[in-house]
Amino acid sequence: MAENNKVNRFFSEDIQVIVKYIPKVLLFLLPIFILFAVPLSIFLWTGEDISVSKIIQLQWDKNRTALYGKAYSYSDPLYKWESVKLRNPSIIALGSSRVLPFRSKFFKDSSSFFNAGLAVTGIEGFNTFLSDIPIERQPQLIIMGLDQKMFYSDLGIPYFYRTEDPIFTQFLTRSWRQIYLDIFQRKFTFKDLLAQNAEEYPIGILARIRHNGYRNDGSYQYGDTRMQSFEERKKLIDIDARAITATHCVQYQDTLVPETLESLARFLKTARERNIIVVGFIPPYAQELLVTMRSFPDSICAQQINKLPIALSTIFTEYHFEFFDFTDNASFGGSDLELEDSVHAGEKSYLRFFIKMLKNGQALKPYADLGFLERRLKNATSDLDVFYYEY
Amino acid sequence: MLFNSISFVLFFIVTGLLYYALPHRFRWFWLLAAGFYFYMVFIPAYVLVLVFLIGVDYVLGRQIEDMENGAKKKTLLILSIGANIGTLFIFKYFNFFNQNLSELAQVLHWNYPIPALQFILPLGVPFHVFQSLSYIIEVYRGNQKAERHLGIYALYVMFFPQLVAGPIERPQNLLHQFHEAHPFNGQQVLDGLKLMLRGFFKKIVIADRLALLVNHVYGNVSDSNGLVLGIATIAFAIQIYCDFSGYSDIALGSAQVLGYQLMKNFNQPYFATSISDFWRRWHISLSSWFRDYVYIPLGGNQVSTFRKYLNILIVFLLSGLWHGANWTFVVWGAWHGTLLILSDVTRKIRSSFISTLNLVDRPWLHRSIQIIITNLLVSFGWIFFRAKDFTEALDIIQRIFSSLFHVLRPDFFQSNLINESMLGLALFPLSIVLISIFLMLALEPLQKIGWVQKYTERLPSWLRASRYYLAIFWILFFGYVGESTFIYFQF
Repeated sequence: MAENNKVNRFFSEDIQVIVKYIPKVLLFLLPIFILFAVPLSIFLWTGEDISVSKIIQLQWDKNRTALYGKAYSYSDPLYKWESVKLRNPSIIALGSSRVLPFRSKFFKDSSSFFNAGLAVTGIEGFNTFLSDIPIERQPQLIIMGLDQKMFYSDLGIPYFYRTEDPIFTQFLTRSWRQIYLDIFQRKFTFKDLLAQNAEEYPIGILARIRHNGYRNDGSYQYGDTRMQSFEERKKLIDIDARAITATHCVQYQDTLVPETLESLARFLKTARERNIIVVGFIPPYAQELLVTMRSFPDSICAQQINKLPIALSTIFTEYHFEFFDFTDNASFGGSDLELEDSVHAGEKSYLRFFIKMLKNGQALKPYADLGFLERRLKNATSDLDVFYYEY
Repeated sequence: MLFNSISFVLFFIVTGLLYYALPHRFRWFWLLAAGFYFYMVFIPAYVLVLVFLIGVDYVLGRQIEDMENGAKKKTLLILSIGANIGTLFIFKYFNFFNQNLSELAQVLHWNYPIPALQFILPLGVPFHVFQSLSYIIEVYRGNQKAERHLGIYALYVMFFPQLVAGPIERPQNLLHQFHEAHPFNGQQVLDGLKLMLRGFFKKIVIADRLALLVNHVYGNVSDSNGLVLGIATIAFAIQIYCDFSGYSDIALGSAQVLGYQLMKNFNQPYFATSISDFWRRWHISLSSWFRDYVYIPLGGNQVSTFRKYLNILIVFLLSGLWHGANWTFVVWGAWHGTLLILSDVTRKIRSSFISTLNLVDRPWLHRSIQIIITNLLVSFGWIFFRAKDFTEALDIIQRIFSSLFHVLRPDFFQSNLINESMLGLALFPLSIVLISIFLMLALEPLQKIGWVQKYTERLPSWLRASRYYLAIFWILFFGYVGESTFIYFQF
C-alpha cells in the first residue's frame, strides 16, 4: 500500500486508463504497420539501410566485390570522398560519371587506384577537392575527366554533398511510397529480390536486381545494359541524342564560360605546386550525337567539338600536363557498340583511351603494363567490358 | 519544429504520453519544457525575446492589478504595450520603415545614414505580442486577474500547440485551463486526433501540392498568360486556406488531445456571403482581436459615419501591416477595408436590386451569387498578398483581365493557353488535389448536419474506422513530401 502511494506521487492515475486503450490503439494501427512492413522488409533485405561507412568497410575488407547500388538514397559523393581518404590511393580518376569506367585492373598495382568519379560536381568541385584533401592523403596522379558541359554552364556547386541521406527519415517520408510505386510499375518482382549472384555482394536494390553499382575500386558496373541487345541500347542512344541536340544545339551564342577556364587553370596551378600530376581528357559522345552536333556549325554543340579541345589543350600545355581529346570515339577505333548510352562509353573504350594515354604520354607509364593491356583489349570478347568480374 | 514533420509526430507522442503519466501538479512544468524545446528547435537564441516579453508582462500585469485606476496604472499599461510593440517593431517593421525613409531621403537629396538591421524575424513574434497584449489589456480593464504563477503565465505564451502561429488566445479562455486538472478522456483525445488528421490532410495533400502550382506560376509571371495566372490565384486562395486552417486544426487538435480547448480560428470562410461575413470566418482570433482592441476603442460603429469608415480603414490597414512589412500587404488590407465600406454604402442599392431580380424568393440562388461574388473579391485581394511587389501585382491583374477578353474569342478552345508545364503540376497530382478539395468541401459541411451525424454514429465500428483509414492512407500515399513550412509562419 505504501509502495502504491509512492508510485502515485510521481505518476497520475490516468496511466491505468491509458493502458486500457493500448490494445485498441494497437489494433487500429495494425493495418498501418502492415502498410509500412512490406516496403521496410524490401528496404532491409536489399541493404538499402546500410550506411556509407559500413559500405566502405565492406568494400575495403571483402575479397569478392561488394557492389554498392542503392535506389532510395543518394550519398555517392560522400562514399567517394570517404573512400579516397581511407584508402589513400596513389592514382585517382576524378570527374563526373564519365570517368567511372576506369578500372583498377588497368594498373600494375590494383590497390594503387581508386575511381573517385562523381566526388565532384562542376569544374569548381576539383578545386574544392584539392583544398580539402590533406597533403598526407593526396594522390600522386589525378586522371581528370573534363565534361564538355562543365565549360558551358556555371561553376557548379563548389562543395561536395558530403552528407549522408538520413536513411530512415527518408524511408518514412519517401522511400516506402517509391517502393510501392516501383512494385506497381513492375520495376522489380519479389522473385528478383531473391536472386543470388555468387560473384557479387549486392548492397542496395539496384545492385541486387540490376547488378548496377560501384565496385570495390569505385568504378561503376552497368549490369543492366549487359542484359540488353545492341539494338535496344541503340534505340535509347538515339532518343537521348535527339533530346540533347534539341536542347543544346539550338543555342548559337558563344557561351564558353571564361570563369570555368580560370577555375581549371587554378586547379592545375595548385596541383603543380603540390607535385600532383594531372592527366586531363574529354570523354566521348555517341557517333549519332556527334553527327547531329556537327550539323549545327555555329551552335554550342559545334563549339564543344571544335573550340573546347583547343582551349583546354592550351591551359594544360601552360602547366606542363598531358591532355587528350576523346570526343570522337571512332577516331580511336571505337564505335557505338561500346557505349552504355549516348554520353557514357563502356570499359572497353576506356581501356583503348588508357592505352592511347600510355602510348602518347609519359605520366601514366610507370603505373601500367602496356603489353598486358593491349593483349587484354585484343582478346576481349564483349563490346562493353574487358575485366567485368576481375578485381 | 514543423507540425508536418516526423519529428513533431514523435515529439507529440512522447509529450502526450508523459503529460498524462505525470500528476496534475507537474504537468504545467512539462508543457512549458515542451514549449521551450518546440520553439528552440528553430533558432534557440530567439527564445530570449519571448523570455523578455514574458518577464515584462508578468511583472507589469501584477503591478497593474494591484494599482488603483489612475495615471500610474495607465503608464504601466503603456509601458507594457511599448515593450511588446517595440519588440515587434524592431524585428518586423524597422527595416521596412527604414528602407522607405531612406528612399524618401534619396528623392529629397537628404543624407540618411541609418543602416538596415540584420535580423531574421523570430518565429511567431507577432502572434505572441498580440496574445501578450490581450492579457495585459484585459488585466488593465479588470476582466482578467493577473497571473500570480510565473510558470503558468509563461505557459500561456509558450503553449506549444499555438506557439508559432496562433490562434491568438485570450487570457479568459486559456489561462484558467492551465490551473484545472485534465484527466485523460478517451473521446476527447479521439476528437483531437481527428482534428489533427483533418489538418494534416489539408496541409500535406492540398496546400503543399497546390504550392507547387502557385510557386511555379507566380515565380514566372512574365511567362504566364492571364488564364494560368487566374487559375494560380484561385489555387492560392485554396492553398492559403488549407495551409493556415490546416495548421489551426492541428493546433486545436493537439491541444484537445491534452485536454485544452483553443478558440476556433476558421469557419468555412469560402462559404461567406459577404466580406464582413468572410472576416467573421477567416482568422477569427486575429479579426476579433482587432475588433476588441482597436476597432471598439476607436469608437467602433457608435460614432459618425465618416469616423466609422475611418475606423474600418485603420483596422484593415493595421491588419494588412500585421501580415507583412510590405506595401502589398497594406494594399491588401486597404482592399478589404474599402470593400467593407463600399458594402455598407451600397447596402440600400443592393437590396433594391435583389428585390428587382426577385432573388429573395430564390434564397439558394441569392446565396450562391453572394458566395461567388465574395470569393471573386477575396481572390482578387490575394493577388496583392501573394505577389512579390506592387508592380508584379498590377502586372498579374492586367494579364488576368486581358485574358478575359480572350475567352470571348471563337478560337479560345483551340488555342494552347494552358498545359501541365505552364501550371508546373502534372495531371495526376492535379487530379489528386482536385479530388481532395472536393472531399474537403463536401465532408466539412456534411459532418455538421444532424441526421448525417446520427446516421454515422449508427454505422458499425469497422465502417466508421474505415473513414479514418481512408484519410490516413490518402495522406500517406498522396501527401506531398518535401521541405514546406506554413505560410503564416512568416507573419
